[in-house]
Amino acid sequence: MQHTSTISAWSGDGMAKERHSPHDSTTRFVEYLTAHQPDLYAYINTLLAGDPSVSDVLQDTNLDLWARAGDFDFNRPFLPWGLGFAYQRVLAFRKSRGRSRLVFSDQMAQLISDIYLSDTTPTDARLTALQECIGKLSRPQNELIRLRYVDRVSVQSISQRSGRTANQISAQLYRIRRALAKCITRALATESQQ
Amino acid sequence: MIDEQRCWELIDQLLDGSIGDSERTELSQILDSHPELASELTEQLKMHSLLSWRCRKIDPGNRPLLPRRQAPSASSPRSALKHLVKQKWLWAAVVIAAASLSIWAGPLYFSRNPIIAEVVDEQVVEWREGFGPPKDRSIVSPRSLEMKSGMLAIRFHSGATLSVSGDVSMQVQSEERIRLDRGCAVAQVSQAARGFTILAPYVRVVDLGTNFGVVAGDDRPTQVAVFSGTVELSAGSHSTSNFHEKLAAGEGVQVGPDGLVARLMNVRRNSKGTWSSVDKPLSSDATIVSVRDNLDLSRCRKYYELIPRGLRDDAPAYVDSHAQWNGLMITGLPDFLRDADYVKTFDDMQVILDLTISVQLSRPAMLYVLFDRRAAPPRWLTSQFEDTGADIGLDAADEFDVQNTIAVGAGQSIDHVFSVWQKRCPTPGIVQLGPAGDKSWRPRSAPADEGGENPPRPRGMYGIAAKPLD
Repeated sequence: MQHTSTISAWSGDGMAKERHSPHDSTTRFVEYLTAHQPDLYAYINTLLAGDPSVSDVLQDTNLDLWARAGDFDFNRPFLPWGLGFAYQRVLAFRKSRGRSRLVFSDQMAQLISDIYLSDTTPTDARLTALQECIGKLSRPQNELIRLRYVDRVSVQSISQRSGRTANQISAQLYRIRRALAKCITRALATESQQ
Repeated sequence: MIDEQRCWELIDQLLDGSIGDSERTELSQILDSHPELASELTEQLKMHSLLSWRCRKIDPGNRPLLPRRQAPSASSPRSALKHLVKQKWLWAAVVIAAASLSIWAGPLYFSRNPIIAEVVDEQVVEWREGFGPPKDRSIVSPRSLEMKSGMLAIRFHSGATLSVSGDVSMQVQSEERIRLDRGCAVAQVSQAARGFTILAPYVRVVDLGTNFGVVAGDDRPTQVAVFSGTVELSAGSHSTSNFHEKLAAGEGVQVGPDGLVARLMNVRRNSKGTWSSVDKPLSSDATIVSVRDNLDLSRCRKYYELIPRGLRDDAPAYVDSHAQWNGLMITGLPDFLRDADYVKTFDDMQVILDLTISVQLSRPAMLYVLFDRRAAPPRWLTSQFEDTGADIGLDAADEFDVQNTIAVGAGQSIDHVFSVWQKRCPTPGIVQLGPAGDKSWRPRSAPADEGGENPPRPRGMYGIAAKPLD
């Protein structure tokens, strides 16, 4: 990312920091926010386990990030800062939802978040690898992924259409997701060795 | 011992939104007692998220990344954000960049998003800018639709037909599911499309093969009425409480943000397929503007349907059955009743002995009660009303007798005869009516040997109609 129109200034603690004109800062912030939408979405969607409110929580996170844009230190990475806001929004959503409607306990949600954040691979790199990995799926596997994720057909409906039990469809989806995850890990590892 | 197969099956139910309360609890218990599943679970959820992101579509009619709500008021800590939100160029930059990203990382392998529905009717729709009519009247998923007014009908390939009207904001999420943020919707769902779901702010409605309506609004309770069949209700995404109920034909409720459920007392539908609840009296065109009773939600969830100028041969008599009003002869209903305002009551009200119904008239009117001749008229009727001497018929299908079905036209298939009673009401106001029977009779389902000397005296619930005096 190019840094333009910056001036250096000495802060009170003697550390050199970059300052940007308000307009330039805003533009750069938009770039950061835009580039990290997949990361924010994937993190929120993972913690909310596909709840229909994911887009609302993402939207609220974006609003929070906008509201605190002036606090962002451009010398630091955006993602940990942004995911911190996302996590707070997820907690707020969980609180509003009420304990009885939550599948994950607080401890389990925290554990999932920790596991998720322990892998720092950017989501866009994963998406690029995913592209290749989907291409390696068999035709029936690809058709199932298309039905479930492009057409957004429920497992129950796929089961009714295909004549197989919902259990069998879930098991197949589980295996495909697992295979894709391994494929992505291998692809990223190969890329890093090159 | 963990049944992992079961666990992943439940995870998929959770991910596609079809999980029920008991399954939710079951999954929760499995995960709580097996934290070692967390790594595998995270991998599955992460992959689900990547696939969901990759397969989502960004087009001019869909703004998944942008604030759909207004920025907070200037007095809030976010006031500084408000002017930023209004800078359209800024959001345009986000959209363009995000769309580019999506195209780059997006559906290269899946060459196109499938068409899942078509617009089959559109009447004077005024679209919100940027949410105009879909190209070629076809709808791909997901698709946001927003209109200021008019009526739009969409037919899904799944077999469901959805009509929306008025000020509407909705998102078509799949051929089985829409999110209705605001507006009035009526769904007609075939048996093949069972499971069609409307996600409204405070309630989630899952169809079980039926015809039902939902009205949602930004700051108002979500209203649901079932016109035929059955639906399943559960808490919506903005709801703070948990509930799970089934609603049958003739039943209607409204659910607030706190999860409080209240009865919908009045419903009105029109020929264009739209509906409204009439919590405040109707104005102008109707003679009967409101009907209320003394039953709370714990005793009754049924509504009264008000039909201005709708009484004619083959008019549906009740909200919860297929019975119809008809003239006894082929000449049809008596002239003085034809095209009267009438009320579809509910047939199981016949067993409520402390029932009090208040009918509100908007103008001087002749109020009619259509009373089953199989029973002796109660005192509240004989003391206020006079028998006109005219009779009409009820054509009532018997669910246990396949030979006894509903016929078309006057004088056909009359099962029961009802007397027409009238009361002259020279001023607008409220008239109170009583129960359909007294202690001397019991519901039709009661065994014949109960009650000793009082034999069962079956009857149907009375009907209500009115015509202006002028």
